[in-house]
Amino acid sequence: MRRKIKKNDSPQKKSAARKPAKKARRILKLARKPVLRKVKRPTLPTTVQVLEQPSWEDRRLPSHYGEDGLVLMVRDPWWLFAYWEVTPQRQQEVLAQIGPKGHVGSKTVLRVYDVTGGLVLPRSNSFFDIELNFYAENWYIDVGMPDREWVTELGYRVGSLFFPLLRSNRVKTPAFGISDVLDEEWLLPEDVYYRLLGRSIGAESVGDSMDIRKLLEKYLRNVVSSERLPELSKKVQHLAVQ
Amino acid sequence: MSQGYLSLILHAHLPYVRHPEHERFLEEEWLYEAITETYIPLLKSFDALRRDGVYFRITMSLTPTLLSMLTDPLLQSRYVKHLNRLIELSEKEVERTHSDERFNGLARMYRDLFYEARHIFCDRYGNDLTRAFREHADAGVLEIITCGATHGFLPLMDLQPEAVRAQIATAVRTHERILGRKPRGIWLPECGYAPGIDEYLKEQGILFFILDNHSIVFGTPRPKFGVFAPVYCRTGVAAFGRDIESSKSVWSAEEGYPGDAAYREFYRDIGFDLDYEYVKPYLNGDGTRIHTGIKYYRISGASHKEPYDPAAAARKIAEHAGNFIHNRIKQVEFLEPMMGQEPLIVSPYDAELFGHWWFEGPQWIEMLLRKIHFDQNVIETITPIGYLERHPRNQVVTPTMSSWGYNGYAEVWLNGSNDWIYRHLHKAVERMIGAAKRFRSPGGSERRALNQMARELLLAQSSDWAFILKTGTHSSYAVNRTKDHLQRFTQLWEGLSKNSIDMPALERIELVDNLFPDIDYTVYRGE
Repeated sequence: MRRKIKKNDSPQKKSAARKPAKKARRILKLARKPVLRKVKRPTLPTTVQVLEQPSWEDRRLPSHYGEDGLVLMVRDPWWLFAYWEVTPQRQQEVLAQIGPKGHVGSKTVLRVYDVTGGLVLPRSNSFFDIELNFYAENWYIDVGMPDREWVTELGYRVGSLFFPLLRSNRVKTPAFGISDVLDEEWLLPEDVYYRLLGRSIGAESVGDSMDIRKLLEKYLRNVVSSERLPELSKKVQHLAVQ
Repeated sequence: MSQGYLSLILHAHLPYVRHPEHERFLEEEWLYEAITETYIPLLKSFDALRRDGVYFRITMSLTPTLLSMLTDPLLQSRYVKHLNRLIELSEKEVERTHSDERFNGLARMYRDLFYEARHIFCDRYGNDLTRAFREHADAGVLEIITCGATHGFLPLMDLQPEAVRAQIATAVRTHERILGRKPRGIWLPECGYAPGIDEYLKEQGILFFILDNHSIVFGTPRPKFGVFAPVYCRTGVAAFGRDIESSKSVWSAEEGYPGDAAYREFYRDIGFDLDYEYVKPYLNGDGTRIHTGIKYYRISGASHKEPYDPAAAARKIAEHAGNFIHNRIKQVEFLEPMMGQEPLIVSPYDAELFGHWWFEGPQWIEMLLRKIHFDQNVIETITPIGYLERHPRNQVVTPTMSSWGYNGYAEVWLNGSNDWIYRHLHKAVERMIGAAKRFRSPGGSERRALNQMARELLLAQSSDWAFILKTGTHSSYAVNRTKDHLQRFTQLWEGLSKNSIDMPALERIELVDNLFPDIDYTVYRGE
């Protein structure tokens, strides 16, 4: 954390508002770089067109767009984010399929399919369900698996049956670790490679790909994380001080 | 012949902040501070190096929003007014501190710096600092690269390829319009990459981009040389990975150079320290206390601060520049025999770190480049494009999705504080694409509305808003900006859809969000 600004101990106390001594004035004069000040500057506009605060400034965004949609996004190698909107019409359609009896025991779930290998639903490697409360409109999904492909469906689960409302786009979590894919044309002996790669991530030496993973994880989380953080958080801080 | 290369890359970016509807606006200070404290000092360093015949190569991204602000007449004239106020304040400071030797020299230092800044800004470059950068680019020492048009975080946009394409195409167009040549490289906003984004770069003739370390190290297949040589994506666009060691020496809170006690303390500013009535005329906006840029102390101890001593800081600058070179030489000597070719060390930083945050930063860069030229012959500075020219044969690797933000991926721009924006941003892109396809030959006012919609959409996409929302301390400005641009977009879209464009409203919006005058909405057609 940065230090707080203290208001005592300021240079203001150290000086009185009296006229500078002759010698000091001469020094000041010299220091003023008269050469720079003699240069004629272009005339600048002095007035600024001030606009009325427009009436569209009440800053409201719609809560819904009246369209069905489920969007899936990748946050990192382990987490996805989904948001959605279901129209009442779509809900009615699916509820009609379920029929009056099933309706009672139905749960709203987000079904997360692992479709790695280019599988297309209904084919998938596996899936899991996240039970949602009725009002949820978005969810962070802990898939926990880098380098896999994912699709989700929002729907009603009734017993062992699933009635989808919406299907998402397809995404892929990024790999987190040294690739197993080797390029024969571009190979170094393994020990040399790990020495080089160790240096690549700022370590003196590493033994294998697990070390690289751990070191990079540490780097990403702790060391030189967001580059813009000091810069912008400073801006934010100095705004907050006010 | 050197054994290895160093590529210094400075990412200069500020979001588009321009409020003609207010006389003075607090957030516009970000630009003014950066001009006085970072851009002008860096330009002075480049001048000095060229004057002294120092061989150096450096790369800077000047983002399209920054270029647009630097060439905007309103902001230019406001900057001059701002600088004039600073000059007046610094004159008063010289008088006020005349009997205190510890501070009077510093007061004069600031006054002289401000006069010099005014001379450079007004007299030498006629208020347009982009001309100065262009001069250095023309001289071949500075490679200026572009960025996303409004610094939109591309990995969260790539569901809609048209959105990514518009960010890149508008950036390239703006770069060429203002700097007179097409960019050869790009700084992807926040280093945000996902496989496939290189295709849009290739479309625009971009040859290279910069990535964070793990993006390359975790790439497929294994990168033979780690981050010490570029890789080609399948599209043939080259990706350069960031070196961690050199990053840490500048950035790390514990080990980084900027934290040295000899350097100037950022947090002690007369805007906060002095009597309120005295500094009030020099505070922008509503008169709340802010930084003026006049700071008299060095970092020293937490409770007791010592006055800043520029001579002691200069000694430290030389020491730190020497240390940086020593470590790069060690790196190169370790790597070169293993690689059998000259390693490349890529060191990217935020430009505004230098000068604004780390006061001595531009001097450190200057000293570093001098020492590299005069004191050794193991390493040489180079631009990414220069390295590609010398080493055109590189491995083909697909980097992983990544960013240089906290945790290395999209979390900074996608979390509980800001995830609400994506529903609206994606909808706006969808509407933009629809409108671009529907209006094949729009009339004059329709075309204006469509182009303004594109501007509003791009502005809403700035990663800066999501970032500020994440930091949470002062998010209302970011919330307002996101909502304003989305609302203006929607208003225009509705007018267009109903065939009743509100012309006075369109004109107002055009006046307020006036960047990218040559924008072309048809980029959203995806053809």
